[in-house]
This record gives sequence, C-alpha cells and structure tokens, in this order.
Amino acid sequence: MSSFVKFENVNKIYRTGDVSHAALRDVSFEVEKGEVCVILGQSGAGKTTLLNILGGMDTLTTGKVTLGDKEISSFNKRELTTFRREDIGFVFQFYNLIPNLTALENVEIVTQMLKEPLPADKVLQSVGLGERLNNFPAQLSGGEQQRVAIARALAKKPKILLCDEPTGALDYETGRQILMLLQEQSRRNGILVVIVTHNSALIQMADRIIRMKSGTVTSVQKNDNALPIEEIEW
Amino acid sequence: MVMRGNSAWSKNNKREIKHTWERYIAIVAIIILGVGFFSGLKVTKTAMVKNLDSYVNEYNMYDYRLLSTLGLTKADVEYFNHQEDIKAEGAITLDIIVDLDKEGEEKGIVLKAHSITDSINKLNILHGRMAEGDNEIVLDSKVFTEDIIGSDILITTDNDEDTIDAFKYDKYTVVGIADAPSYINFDRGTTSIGNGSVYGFAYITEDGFDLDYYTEIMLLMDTKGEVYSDEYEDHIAYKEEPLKEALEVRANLRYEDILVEVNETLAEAEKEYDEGYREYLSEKADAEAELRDAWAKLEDAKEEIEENEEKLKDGDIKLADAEAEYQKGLRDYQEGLTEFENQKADAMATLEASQNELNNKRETVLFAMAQIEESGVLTQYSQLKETISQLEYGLSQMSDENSVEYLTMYEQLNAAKAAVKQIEDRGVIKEYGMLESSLEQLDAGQIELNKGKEEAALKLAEAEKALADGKAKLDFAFKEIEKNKEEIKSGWEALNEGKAEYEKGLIEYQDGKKEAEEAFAEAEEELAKARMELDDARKEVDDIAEPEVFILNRNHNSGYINFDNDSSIVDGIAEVLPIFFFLVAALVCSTTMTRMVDEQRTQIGTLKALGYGNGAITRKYIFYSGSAALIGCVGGFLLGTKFFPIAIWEAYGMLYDFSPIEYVFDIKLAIISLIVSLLCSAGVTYVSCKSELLQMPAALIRPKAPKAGKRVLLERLPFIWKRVSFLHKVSIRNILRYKRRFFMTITGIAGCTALIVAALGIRDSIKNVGNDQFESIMKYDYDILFTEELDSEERESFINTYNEELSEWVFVATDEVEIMDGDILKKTSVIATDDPNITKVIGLHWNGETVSYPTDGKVAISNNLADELDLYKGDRVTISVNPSETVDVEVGGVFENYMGNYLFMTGKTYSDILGKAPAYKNLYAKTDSEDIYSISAAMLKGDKITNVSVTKDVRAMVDNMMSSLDTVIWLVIACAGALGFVVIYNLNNINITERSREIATLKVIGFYQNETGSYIFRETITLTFIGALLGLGLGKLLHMFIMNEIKVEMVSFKEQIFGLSYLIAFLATFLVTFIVNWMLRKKIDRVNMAESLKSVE
Repeated sequence: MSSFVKFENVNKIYRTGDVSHAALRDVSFEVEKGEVCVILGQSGAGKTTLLNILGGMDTLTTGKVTLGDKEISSFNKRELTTFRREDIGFVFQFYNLIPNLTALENVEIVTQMLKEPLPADKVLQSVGLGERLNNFPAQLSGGEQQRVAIARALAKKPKILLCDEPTGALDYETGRQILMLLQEQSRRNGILVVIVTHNSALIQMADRIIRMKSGTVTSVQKNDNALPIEEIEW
Repeated sequence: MVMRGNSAWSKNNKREIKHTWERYIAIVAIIILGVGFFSGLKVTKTAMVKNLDSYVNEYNMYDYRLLSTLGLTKADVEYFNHQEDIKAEGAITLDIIVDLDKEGEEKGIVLKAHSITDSINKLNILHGRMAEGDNEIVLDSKVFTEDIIGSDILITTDNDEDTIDAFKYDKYTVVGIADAPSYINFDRGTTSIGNGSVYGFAYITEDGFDLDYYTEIMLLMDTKGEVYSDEYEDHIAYKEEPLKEALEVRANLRYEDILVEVNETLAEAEKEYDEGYREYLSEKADAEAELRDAWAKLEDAKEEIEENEEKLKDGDIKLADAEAEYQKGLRDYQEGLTEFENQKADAMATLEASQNELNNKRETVLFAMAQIEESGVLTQYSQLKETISQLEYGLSQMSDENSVEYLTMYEQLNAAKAAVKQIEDRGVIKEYGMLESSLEQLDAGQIELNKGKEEAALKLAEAEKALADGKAKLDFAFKEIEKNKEEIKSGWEALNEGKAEYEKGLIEYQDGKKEAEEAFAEAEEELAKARMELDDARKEVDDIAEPEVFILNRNHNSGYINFDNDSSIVDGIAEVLPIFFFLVAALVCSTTMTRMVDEQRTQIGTLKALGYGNGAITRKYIFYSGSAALIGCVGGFLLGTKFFPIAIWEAYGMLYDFSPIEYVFDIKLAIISLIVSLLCSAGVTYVSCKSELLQMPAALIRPKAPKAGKRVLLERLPFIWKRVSFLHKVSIRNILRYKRRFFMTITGIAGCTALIVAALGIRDSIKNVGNDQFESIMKYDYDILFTEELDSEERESFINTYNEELSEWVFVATDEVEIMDGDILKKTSVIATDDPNITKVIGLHWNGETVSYPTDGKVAISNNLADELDLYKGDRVTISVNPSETVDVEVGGVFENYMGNYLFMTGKTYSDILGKAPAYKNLYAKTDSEDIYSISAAMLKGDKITNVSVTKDVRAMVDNMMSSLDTVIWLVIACAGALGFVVIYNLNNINITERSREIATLKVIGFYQNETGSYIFRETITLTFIGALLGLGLGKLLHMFIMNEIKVEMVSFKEQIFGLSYLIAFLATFLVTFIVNWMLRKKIDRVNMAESLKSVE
C-alpha cells in the first residue's frame, strides 16, 4: 500500500517578537490509508502542532505535507478550510460540542454543509446514541459527548479522523469504548485514524506508531499486530 | 488591605483595562452617550433660558404693561415712576397700514408702531441707527433686511382718520432695523385692520406720534430671579394686585377728567348748534321775504301785461273800424272825383263854345279895324292929336302970350287943328270909332266870358280843393291807420316779450323757491343731523364706559411664553430619550461585567485563595466599570453640555436669534449625571456580579458548569422549528440563552431604531407641513388682494386679462374671528365663498378622504382647531362676533391644515354669522405656467390690486424654518447610531470572546470564514431584526410623545412617519450592525483554531 499521508522535512517555527521557537524540526514520515496511527509524545513534544498541520489548522514554515494527491502545505487559507471541511474529521479532548445544539444538531452542523454526508441520525445510531438524539450536550455524559463528537466527525465521511487526546477527559472504561469506536472506523470503514496522545498504552491498538520528542520524530514504527481494544489494558 | 497605586494589584487592574479595552471603551462610550444626551438636552433649556434672561435684562424687557381703555397720561407715568422699585415709561402702540415705498416691497401691510422708550424695552439695533428725527422709523429685523434702510414707509389712506391723525407724518424714513425684547420670536400678533395680521413692528419717536396720551405704561421693576423662575414669577405676582388697584385709580381719574372735558366740548358744540340754528332761521326768513317780493313783482307784471293786452285788443278793434271808415271815405272820394270830372268837362265845353263865337266876332271886327289902320289915318290922327296936346302943353307953359314963340306955336296948333278937322270930316274916324265900340262890346263879352270862365274855374277849383281836401284827409287817415297798425304790432310784440319775461321770471322764481326750499331742507337736515350727532355725542358721553384696565406681564407676551414652551420641548425630550441611553448603559455594564467576572472566575478564585477579601475583589470590578463610567460621564457631560445647546440653539436660530448661546455649567446636572452613570455602571456591576464574587474560592476555581442548552418556546411549534435551519436554531437558542444580553441588545437596538424613526418622523411630520400645506391644501399659487371688492364687470375683465396665465381662480372673502374655547379666544381665519371651484384651489381632506365644502349654515374647521376644542363633525362651534355676542354654528366637516386655524363657509353663512355681506376682495388663483413671478409682477401693476402673495414664497419661508429642525434631527440620528453601535459592538465583542471556543471548533470543522462569521453575526442580525422591529413600534410611540411635546400654537404637525422613514431607520440600524460586524470579522478571524484544543477554563 502506498503512503497516504506524507510529511517531508516539515519545520514549524513560531515567532513571538524576537523569540522564535521551533515546534517541529525536520519532521518526515508517511502513513498509509486505513491505518490507526498513534502519535505519542509528552507535552510540548510538538504532537499537537503536527496534528494542527496535518488537520489543515495551521501552516508549516518549511517542508511539504501531502494527503493522497493533495499537497496540503501549498494550500491557501480557503483551500485549507475546504480541506478540513471535506477530508478531515476532528475529535477533541473536550468534545467541543456546541452547547446550544442537541446531539443530532451537533452532527447536522456538519452534514448540512456538505454535499453527500451520512445521515446524521444514522451516524448517531451507529455510535450508539440512537436514543439520545435530542439531548443537549449538557444532558449527556462525557463519553456520550465524545461519541457525538465522533459522529460529527464521521458524518462527513472524512479521509482522516484526527483525534486529540480523545480519552483525555474520560474515565477508563468510557475511554476504551471511544477507542473501540475509533478503531472500528479504521477497520470497518477504512478511514485513516490519527490519534494524538501521551498515553503509551494506546500504541498497542495502532498500526503505526510515531514517537515525538522536542519537535522531532524520534521513531516511526509499523505495528502489524495491532490489538483490538478489548485486549488492551492500561 | 491597603492598595497602592503601583502595587501589583493595581497594576493588574490597569492591565485588565488595557487587555479588555474594547469592553472598557464600550462602557465609556455608552456612558458618554447617555450623559451627553441627558446633560446636553437638559442643559439646553437652562442655557436657552439663561440666554433669554441676559437678553431680557440687557434690553430691559418690561415686567408689566399697564393698559387702560381710555389711555394713560404723563401724570400717570409720573405716578408710577414714584412708586418704590418701579421705573415707568409711557408708550404708544398703534396698528397702522402702510405701503413700503420701495420697488418690489409689500403694499398695504400692517405694522405695529411703537414709540421708542428710553430705558424699558430698548431696541437692539442690528443695522443702521436709532430713529432720531420724528419722521424716522426703525423696523423689525425679522421681516426686513438692511436693504430697506433709506426707503420710506407711507401711511396709506386705508387707515381710519383717527389713526392717520395719530401720526405726525404720513411718511417715515427707515433708518435702521432692530430686534425688540418684546418680540422674542416670530409672532407679531394680529390686528383688527388691514388683512388682520401684523407684518412686523416699527418704532418711531414719541414725537413722531401726534397723540396726547399714552396707550400704555411699561414698568420695569427691581425683580429677582431668572426669567420663568418661580422667584421671578412670585415677585411679579406679588406686585400685581397693588399695581392693578393703582392703575384702576389712575384710570378713573382720567375718566373723570375726560368726562369734564367732553362735557365742556359738548356744551360748546351745543352752543354752536344753537347759533347755527338761529342763523338758519334768520337766513330762512330773509330768503322767504325776498321770495315774496319777487312774487309780488311778478304779479304786478302779470297784471300790467293783462292790461296792455286789453288795450291792444281795443286798439285792434278801433283800427279795424278806422280802416273800414277809411275805405268808405276812399270810395266817396272816388265817386266825388268822378262827378267833378264830369261837371268840369261840361263847363269847359260850354265856355269853349262861347269863346269860339266871341273869337269869330273879334276876328271880323279886328279885320275891319285892321283895314282902317292899314290906311294910316289913325296914325296921322293920333300923331296930330299928340302934336296938339304937346303944343297946348307948350303954350300953357308960356307966360307971355304975346311973345313970338307963343304966337308961332299957336299958329301950328291951329294948323294941326285944321288938319284933324279935315280927317274927322271924312267919317273914317267915326267908323273906326264904331268898330272900336264893337270891339269894346266884344271885349266886354270876353270879359263876361272870362268871368264865366273864372267863375267856373273857381267853382271847379273849389270842388277840386274839396276833393283834394277829402283825399288828404283820407291819406292822413290811412297814414294814421298804418301808424296805429305799427304801434299795435309792436305793442303785441312788447306784450309777448313781456309775457316771455314774465314766464321766465316765474320759472326763476319757482326755481329760486325750490332752491331755497331745498337749501332749507338741507339746512334742516344738517341741523337735524347735528342735533342727532349732538344727541349721540351726549349719549356717548353718558355712555363713556368706566375705563377698563389691563395689567399684562411677560406671560402675556407670545414670544416670551413660546420661548418657555420651545425650550421646554427640549427639556421634555430630555425626559425620555436619555432613559434609553441609561437603560442601555446599565445593561451594557451589566452584561460586560458579568461576562468579565465569568471569564475571570478562576482568577478570582485564585485571588481569594491567596487571601484577597471580597471587598477588594468587588472593588476591582466596581473600579473597572466605575472608572469607565467616570471618564464617560466627564466626557459626555463636557461634549453634551457644550455642543447640544449650540446645535439646538442653531436650530432655533430661525425663531430666536438674539444672541449666541453661552456655555452653561450646571453643577446640579453634573452631579445627577455622575450619580446616574455610576449607578448604571458601578451599581449595576455590584448587583449583577455580587453572587458570583461572593462565592467560595473552591467553587470559583472549578470551571463553571456550562450553561445547559435549552429548548426555546419556538421548538414546541414543530411546523416552524422544522423549517428553521440548524444554524438559525443555534442562533435562536443563543439569543435566548442570555436574557440580560438579549434585553441589552434589544433595548439598545430598539432604542437606536426608535430614535431614528422618531427623528425622521419628526422630519416627516414637519417637512410634510410644507408639502401638504402647499401642495394638497393651499393649491393656489397666488393670493391676490384687491383694494376693494370687484364688480362682475371688473372681475370679468381681470379674468380675461389673465385667462392665458391662470388655470383656476376663485374669489373669496377673508376675515378673522375669534372662537370661544371656554374663556379663551382662539383667533381664526375665515374664508367665505360661494364658488364651487374653491375645492380646486384649496384641498379639504381628512385622512385621505375629500371633505366637501360646507353647505349654508355650516362651517368646516381646520383639524388643529378641532383637536384643541375637541370638536367633531356635527358639533357646534361658538364664534365670538364681538365682545358681547356669540354665534353657534354647526361644524360641517373637519379638514387637515397645518398652518393657522381656518373656518370655511359659504357667503350666506358668512353674512348670517357676521351680520355683514362678505367682501370678495381676495382671489386665489392657480397657474400652469412655470414663470410664476412674471405673472405676479404683471398682476401687481394692474389697477385695484393691493398685493399678490405668491405661495411659493411663503413655502420657501416655511421650508427654511422647518429645515432648522434638521440639525436636531441629525443630532438625534447620530446619537442613535452611536447607541446602536456601542450596543452591537459590545454584544458581538462579548459573544466572540465568550464563544471563541465554539468559533475555533467551527473553524476546525471546516466552516468557511463567512460561515463562521454568520454563526456569530446571525445572532446580532436576528437581534437587530427583532430590536429594529420593536424599535419601529417604539419609534412610533416616541414620535407621538415628542410630537405632543413640541406642539406649536399656530402650526399643527401632521403626526406621521413615512414608510420610507421606517425603512431608513430599519436599514440604518442594520447598517450599524453590518459596520460592527465588518469590524469584528477580523476579530473572529483572529480566533485561533488551537483554542479548540485547550481545556475548558
């Protein structure tokens, strides 16, 4: 399988006044389609920056990022937005649901801006929230909120599902369920799932593990024996 | 805990402001607006009143005017001058009709002429100079420009005699134009003369009048307090009673004086009358005597004529007799003559025959004798005889007979005697002797015949003479007759002449008599008139009413009162409008500060945990909003009190422009402003954040439970809700999530829209006055005033002259009456006509429907009159015909009219009500021509035209006046815009900061820039929409309120707001929203997507 996502010598330097700080230094790696990719690193290792760049939320300073035949690094702001809109599904640590919208509406917020989305209610059903469509986020538990968030991301039929510490705010059991859901997306729907985490336990479920430290990729490891979540414990 | 300026605490506070400057500025701005608007409007009245006060004091406007129906005298002035604290001056005021002797200027206008007073009611000369000479005049600056200086004012003959007499000259030269303190605004009042309205005032010197009394006395008192102040009013009121009593006493004194005077005058007149009567009687007697003489003479003449006629007739008869006699005589004479001729012929024939016989005999004798004689014997014989006689004689002569001589001679004698005896003896001598004797016989026969002849001739001559005598007598008689005839003829002629003369004399006499009689009648009539006049005068004198006195203070001066009203309008607006601003300010503060406290709850918790007390933390936020409010208050107060009065004064400049307005610092107002702004900021902050600030630190450090999404009422209406797109749903839910913010925004925006609606509405209502008044009501282009009512011929000729130019024309009668409203009299113009075309030149409408012209016995009244008197169709309106008489008339209709009060009626109604025939002196005319002025100019040159007023001119004036209000309106609109701006900016600002996480999320999800924008702005737009909609309604209410406040006596504004104004207000509000949105879009763009990854605060 050819590489789907490709980082080539990516540098990201933040400048604040005279001080410049390199968040990413000469990062290069490749990820294939349908994989579950875990990016592992401590706080400040540059994994969020990497995620931002991959998700089209931030631009890079030098280097090249491609997704399939799209060169993300050459996109302008609008193209980046379109890219995010059509190709990327985000799952945040704090869910980032719109508090004033019900679960269904939080999904609809994306389905209504796309041409051929998955039906919102179906997606919610698929993540096990068929009964709670009309609940507001405040009425849902953390796991349920994250499921809504995942449903929101999936409804787009994204090429990549980017997850930023998806279990960070959840308890163990709920976290596992969410991770199961994410893995399922990769296995069943062939979506590239990129999970950014500092939790090394998650590497067991990954097809590819990218380790980061101080803005550089320390290793890229392919794991052919990724375990189902049920078998992983931490 | 002590806080020092440079402590970390205060640094933190200052930085707080720096970092959240937008919020801070929002509070400052809203307070500036609120305080500026409030203090500005409030101080405007104070400043205006103060301005008037200094004006009134500078020019010594009177405090009281004392008037008496009988006038007042110098002594009265003296009297009042001697009162404590009072300065009195006599003044004359008279209405006068004048012509301006200048090309293109008005004719037949009424001026209120005043005498110039020295120290009270001083004039403010704007151009030119004060009148010094008695024939100089200073005119009203409000209606005249300085161009008038140098021209003349002519007093027309239209004035009644008394008025003309009251002016020393009939021409006054304009030397200046001025403002007068008793004419503060435009109102110049009305008058009973001319066209009923006073054009302007005029001042001439006291000596320019020719009047021996004052019409009024003006008083200036040592008053305290500003104009309109209670202090002043009380002071004035306190003096009123004693002044009135004194005035009554003075007026009664004058009354008695006048009575004495007029009685004297009357007695004199009575005397004069008596004299006149006596004169009349004597003159009449003389004239009658003269007439009688003349009659007697005429009678004599008549008699004489008759006598002469008799005589002449006798003469005629005699003459006829004489003529007859003469004819007879003539016939007798001719008969006699014929007889005489016959006798004469007979006698002559006889005599002739005798003569002839005699002659024959003589011839025979003579023949015989001739034969003898031829023989010569006779000669010899006679010679011998002669020689004998001679010798005898010689012998007788000789004495000596013996002498020789004697003897010789004797011989000779004897010889001769012998010869003779020889001859004698022959016998011839005897025969001859016989012949001679026959001849002698013949001669005797001849003599006998001659004697017969002579006798016959004598007899004939006698007869002839007798005839001739007869003839002569006849001739004489004839002549006599002819002469008599002549005489009689001329007698007749003379008689006829005499008769004619007599007739003439008679006519003359009759004429004379008639004339005399007429003269007598006239004289009698005159006398009777004089008598009547005298009686009238006597009655009048008896009727001279006890004087009525009036004591008027400034509150009776229309300008003074209107100024109070007008400045109170501003004050009235100041009562309502700032409430919006303060309400919004409070809401802005509340939402801003609540949001701030929410944002900083962690910090607050930390601070509390660090040991800062509740007080210190509360003070921080109170300081934040309070300092913003303080800055706003100072700024707003300075800006508001400085510029509002200037702008509004500018706007009122058309009405009152006596001096530029001065800055007024009102400490009370400043304190109120400060308190209100602090209440709206710090107070509101304290109240709204109290609960939050007083929480335990632990609770504060925990993130605040996110406010649960809530279903709104709308969702229970699925048929609507389903149709709402989810983004709108979220907006709707967001809007309703924060009630306070919702109300802040709605109030602010509604206020903004309402203000614009009201402001534009005022403009519509006012602008409309010009439009409606001059386009749909006064549709005529000209109001032509004739010197007198035209007869039908003149009308026709006028119309024929202008047939081309004019498209419509209606002759109307105009007048002024007063309408009773309880005790108040409302001055109202009357327009009467029977011409049905009136509706083509004057539009009568009510609420878009045409009001028909009233029928006989009914009147149509203008709406402002109807409003004020609360009259409706079918009610009865009471018209005061004169002070003691009123007439009730049915209201046949109410019509829209904006300027002035009007009564429309038919000619019959007019004469029924006013008891006089309507004088159709005015012509309302319309033209289709563009060249309005050349037509009016042409008309003005015509006969009998006093004035042509062009509607366009009036309109321009009104439009000018109205446009001055635009300033205020724009001011309000600007403030409204600012209000909307601050509110929307603040709302958006809060929303953006509050929802930066949502925004970031949406951006991550892939919302395009405009989609993200609209996610936030949709809310603003929706709120703007709701607020603006509410604002439209609120604006209407506000407009109603303001229109009610600014009601002006003579002008009724049509309370209306055009659809366009609503639209403009609506769009303007949206424009403000869009501007804010555009400004804040950048702020949204700046929201970093990384925000979405942050933990919840």
